[in-house]
Amino acid sequence: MKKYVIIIIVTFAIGSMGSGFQKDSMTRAELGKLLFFDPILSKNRTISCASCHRPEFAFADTSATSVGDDGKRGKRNTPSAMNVLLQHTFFWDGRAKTLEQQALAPIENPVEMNLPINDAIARLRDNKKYQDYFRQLFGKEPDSANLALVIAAFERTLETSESPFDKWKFEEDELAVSEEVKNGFVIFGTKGKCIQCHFGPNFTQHEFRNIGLFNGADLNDSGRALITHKTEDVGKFKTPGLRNTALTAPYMHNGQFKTLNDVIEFYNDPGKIVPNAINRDTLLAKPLGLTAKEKSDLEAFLVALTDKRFSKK
Amino acid sequence: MLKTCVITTAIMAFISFTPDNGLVGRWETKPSVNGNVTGVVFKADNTYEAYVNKKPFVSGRYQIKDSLITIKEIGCQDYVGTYKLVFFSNSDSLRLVPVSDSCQQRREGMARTILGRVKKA
Repeated sequence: MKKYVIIIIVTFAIGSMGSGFQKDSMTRAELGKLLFFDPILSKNRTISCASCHRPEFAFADTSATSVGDDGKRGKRNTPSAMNVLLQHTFFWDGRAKTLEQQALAPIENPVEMNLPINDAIARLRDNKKYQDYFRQLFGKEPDSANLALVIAAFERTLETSESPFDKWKFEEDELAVSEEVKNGFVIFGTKGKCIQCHFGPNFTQHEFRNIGLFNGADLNDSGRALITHKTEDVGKFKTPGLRNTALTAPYMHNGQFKTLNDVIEFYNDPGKIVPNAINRDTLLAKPLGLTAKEKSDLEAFLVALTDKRFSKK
Repeated sequence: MLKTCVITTAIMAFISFTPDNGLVGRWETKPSVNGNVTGVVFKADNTYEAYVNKKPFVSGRYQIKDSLITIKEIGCQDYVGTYKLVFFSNSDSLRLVPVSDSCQQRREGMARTILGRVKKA
């Protein structure tokens, strides 16, 4: 009897080891993840999506603008690639309407991965591993459509909903956050006016707003207007979500603010920081007049939007 | 005997002060085509929390009179909305039929939403 038990245990052990070592099939998201971290999709084979969308920083970057192929830099800050499931448009100017459209753009962008899509596809077709995975998943070899599908599928898995704030509100745990955080949430929704734009499950209404970082001189990125060609859209950028925002510094489309405190100081009195802004949103017409305590509580609330996966172990 | 009587009275008193409108508890939609689930927790203290995919996005207060619920939340510029509560399927499903709401986004969202009661495991 004992012998049979040992045989069964050993059989189970070998079986489970086998499933861990040999992966016969994978999901679209798993393949997308492989590619997201693989520099094969950049011209010089040194940059992957994850080079700028760094997992430890909520899939954002830590510099104002990220370094791309051959040391080149773009002119906009790398947004977090997390919590994109509910987004309506992508990029700061909203030029992509689907995550699939978004997924391919950085590969071709000369200041990012700088690899024409046809060349990227050729590389994947020459790679036996990827050739096999795409055939298993789609019944055909890699092409631009299924490449976009898998990368987008991976990005859709990057949802976070386990921050202290979520624990407080969703799980009704009153002890999950401090009184400062609770007060900060009140400021967020009232005197701070933040909720007027940062409303929703990811703290954005997905609108395009001119917050006063366009002056036609040193701040001359026209933003949304480059896509719509409408004068009224000059200086407008997509309102980013705020989940995990404590990890995604620096802030704004050009990464000009290094800390959350800088951001709060800006919104408290935008004209003081950028006095010559053109067409700043009327919501920001007057200084907010936040006290030091209110600013500090507001920052505590923003920090409480950090998912538990980023908690220091 | 006296002790039992006191305990029973206390329980009865507690029950009578707890809103028993059939609404208190957690309600959720079925997953949408994209897999999104919207939910709301109506609490006994006449507050509620709404969420999408376990992500809270709005808090507010509600009042019930007859079959009408009036809600006021942060985020829709404090607009007040009134809806008719329509329970069905043994009161395990709920539709909020707009009566009046100056918050267009909320009115449109509610009009197409059916919620199912989330029963505790």
